[in-house]
Amino acid sequence: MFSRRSILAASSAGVLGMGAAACGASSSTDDTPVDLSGDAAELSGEITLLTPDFTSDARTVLDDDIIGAFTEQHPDVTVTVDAAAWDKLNEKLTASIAGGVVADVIMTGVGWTQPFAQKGLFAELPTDDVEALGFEESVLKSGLYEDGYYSIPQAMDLRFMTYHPELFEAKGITEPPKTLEELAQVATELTGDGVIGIDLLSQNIRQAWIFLLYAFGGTLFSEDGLTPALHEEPGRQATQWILDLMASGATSYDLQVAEGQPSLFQQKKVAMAITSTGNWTSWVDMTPELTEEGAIGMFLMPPGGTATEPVMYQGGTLISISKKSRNQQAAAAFAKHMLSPEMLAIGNAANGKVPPTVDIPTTPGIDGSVLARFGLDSLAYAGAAEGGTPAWMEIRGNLQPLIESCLTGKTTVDQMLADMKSLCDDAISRI
Amino acid sequence: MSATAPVSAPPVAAAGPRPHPGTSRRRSVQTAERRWGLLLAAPATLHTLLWIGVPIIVAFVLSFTAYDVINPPEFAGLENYATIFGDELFWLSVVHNVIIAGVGIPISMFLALLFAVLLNRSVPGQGIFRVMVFLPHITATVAVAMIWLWIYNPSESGLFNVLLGTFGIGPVPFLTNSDYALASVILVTIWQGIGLKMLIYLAALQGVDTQLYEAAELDGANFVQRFLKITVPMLKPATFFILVTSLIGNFQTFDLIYILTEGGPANSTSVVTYRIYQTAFQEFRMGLASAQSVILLLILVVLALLSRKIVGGTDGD
Repeated sequence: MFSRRSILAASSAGVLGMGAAACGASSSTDDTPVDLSGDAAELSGEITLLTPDFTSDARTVLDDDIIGAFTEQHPDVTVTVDAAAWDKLNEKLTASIAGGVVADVIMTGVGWTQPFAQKGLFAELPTDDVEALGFEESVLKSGLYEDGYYSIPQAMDLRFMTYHPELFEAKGITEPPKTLEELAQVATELTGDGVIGIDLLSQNIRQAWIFLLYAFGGTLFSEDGLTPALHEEPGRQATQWILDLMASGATSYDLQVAEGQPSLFQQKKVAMAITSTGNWTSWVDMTPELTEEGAIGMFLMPPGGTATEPVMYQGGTLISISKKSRNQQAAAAFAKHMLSPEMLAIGNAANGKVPPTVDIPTTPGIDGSVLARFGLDSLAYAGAAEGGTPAWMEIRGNLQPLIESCLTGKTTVDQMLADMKSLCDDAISRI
Repeated sequence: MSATAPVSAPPVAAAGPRPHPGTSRRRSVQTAERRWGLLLAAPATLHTLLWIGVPIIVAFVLSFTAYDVINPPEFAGLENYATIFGDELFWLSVVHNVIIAGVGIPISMFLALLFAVLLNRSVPGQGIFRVMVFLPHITATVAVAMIWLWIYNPSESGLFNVLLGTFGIGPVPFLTNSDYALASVILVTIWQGIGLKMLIYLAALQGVDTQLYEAAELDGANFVQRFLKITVPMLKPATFFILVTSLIGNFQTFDLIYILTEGGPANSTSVVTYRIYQTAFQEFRMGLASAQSVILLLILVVLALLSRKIVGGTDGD
C-alpha cells in the first residue's frame, strides 16, 4: 500500500505538475482582425455577452428588444447575458479568464481597452469598418491601441458643468465663466447663505481630478502610453486650483449624500456641479423640477493655465470581441447589431446614457434629456478621458488614494505628483 | 522420590505472557473503531485537502511567478516577495489590521465577557437579550455595512450626525475623513464581534463547576475575587479560542471594508485582504497577490503561536 509520505509526494508533484502545465499553456496568437463587415447570414451557435450596463428595468430592453431583434435575424444563434455591476466587472473578467470561460462580446469602460488589448484578450477590429460607423474621432480614440481599434463606444457618460440660473441671477452673474480662474471666482461669489459654490468631488474624485488636468491642458500619458505626464505642470495647477477652492470654502471634500438621496446640487445647496449625462434618470425620479426647460444651465469645463479650449469628460461603455472567442463571427455580428443606429438609440435610452453619434433615430429618452442633448452637441470637446496606457488597470485604483491624501492635507502637492509618477513608472515598467 | 509427573511446560506460541482472552477482542474492537473513525473523517479530510490544501499549495507555487491571468505564469523567483518587502501600502494595511485587532478585539472580548456574565444569571427577558447581542453576528456583513453607511452618512440624514446635530456638533465625515475612518471601522467590528464571543463565553461559563464558587464563598471571597480567581482562569480555553479566531477573522476582514470605505480615504482603512484583492482583481498581479496571501498565512501562524504563549493554550491551567 501507499505510505503517507508517498501520497504526499505524489499529490505535491501533481499540483506542481498542474502549475507547470499552466505555465506552459499557450494563448491564441491569431492577430487577424475580426471581420465586422462580412455576410452574417449563416451564423449559428452560442455567444455570451458580458455587460455592466442594462441593469434592473433596462435588462428587459436588452433581452427583448436588442437580443430579440438579433435572434430574429439569426435564429440559430443563442445569446447568453452575463451581467456584472461596474465595480465588480474587473473581478468578473479576471475570474472568467482564469476559469477559461471568457465572454465572446465584452463591454468595458473608457481606459480599459489598452490594457486588455495589450494582454491579448481583445481582438483587433478592422479600421475601415470602425470608421465607417461615422462616430466622432474624439469618441473613437478610447478604443485605440497602437494605431488599431480594439473597442468601439456603444454608450457615453459625458460630464460637464451645470448650474442653477436663479442663483447666478441673485448674485448678478450674467453668463457662465470662460476660464478656470473665472470659475473659481464665480464659485466664491456664489458661496454663502447655506449654499456652496461648486461641487467637484462628490461623484468620483479621481475622474474629477483628471477632468481638471485636461482643462489645464494636461494629459495622463504620452501618446504611446509609455511615459507618465500627469505629474507635470497642469497636474500641479489642477490640484492647487482645487486646494485653493477648498481653502476659500467654495467647495468641500465632504459633499457626498447617502445612496438614493438627491445630490446637494439637486437640493440647490450647491450652485454649480460636475454633472454626468447619466444623472438625468435620477433627476427625473427625484427632482423633476430640474428637468424642465431652462431650469438648469450647462457649460463645458473652461480652460485654465495655458490651455485655450474648454473640455468635456468622456466616460462610457465600449464593446470588444474576445480574441479567445470560439464563435467570433457570431460575436462580431452581434457587436455590429448593437452598434446599429436603431439599437444604439434603444440601448442608450434604456441605460440613460448618450449614444456615440447624433445619427440615431429620434428617441424620447435621449431627446428629452437636456443633459444628453448638450453632451451630443459638444462631442467634439470630449477630450478628457481616463486611460491611455496598457498599465492603466494597475494605476487607476491607486491614483485616488494619492489625490485624497493631498486634498486632505496628508501630503503636499509635490509629494502627490512624485508619488503619481513613481506609481505610473513602476506599472509601465512591467508592461 | 515423589512420583510426581513432570509438568510439561505449556507450548510457547510466542514470547511474552499469554494474552488475556478479553485483550484480543478489545484490540479488534479498537481496530474496527479506528477504521470507522477514518471512514467517517474521510469526507472532511478530503474536503480539507481538496479545497484548502490544494489552493494553499497552488497559491504557494503561484507566489513565485508573474501571472496576469490572461497570459501563462512565468517563473519570477523571489521577486514577488522582494516587491512585498518594499510595498509600503501592504505593510500599512498590515498595520491597520494590527490596530483594528489591537483596539477592537480586547474591547469586544471585554464587552462579550461582561454580557455573558450578566446573561448567565436568570433575569427576565434573558433570551431576548441574548438574541439581540448575537444578531449582529448572524446578520450578513453586507447588510451590516449598508446600515452603518447610513449611520455614518456625512450629510444631515446620517443617524450619528442627526444625534450630534442636536448638540450643535458636526456634521462629522466619519468615513470620508482619514482621521476618523479607521476608528469608525473599528467601532463596527466591535459591534459585530460581540455576539459570537459572548455566546462562546456563555457556553464556557455554564461549564464552570458551581461548587468552586460555593467553596470560595465559604472562604469569604467577594464577587470580584471569585471572578478574577475562578471565572477568568476557568475561561482560559474559551479566551484562547476567541482570541485566535478573532485574530484570524480580523485579518480576513474584507466585505466590511469593501462596502464601507474601499480602503479609503487615502488608504487610511486599507487592510491586508483588501490589498490582496486590489492586487489580484484590480491590478491583475496574481503572482504578487499569492505571495501576499502566503505572507498573510505566516502572520496568522505567528499570531496564533503568540496567542497560545500569552493565554496559555486550551489546557485551561
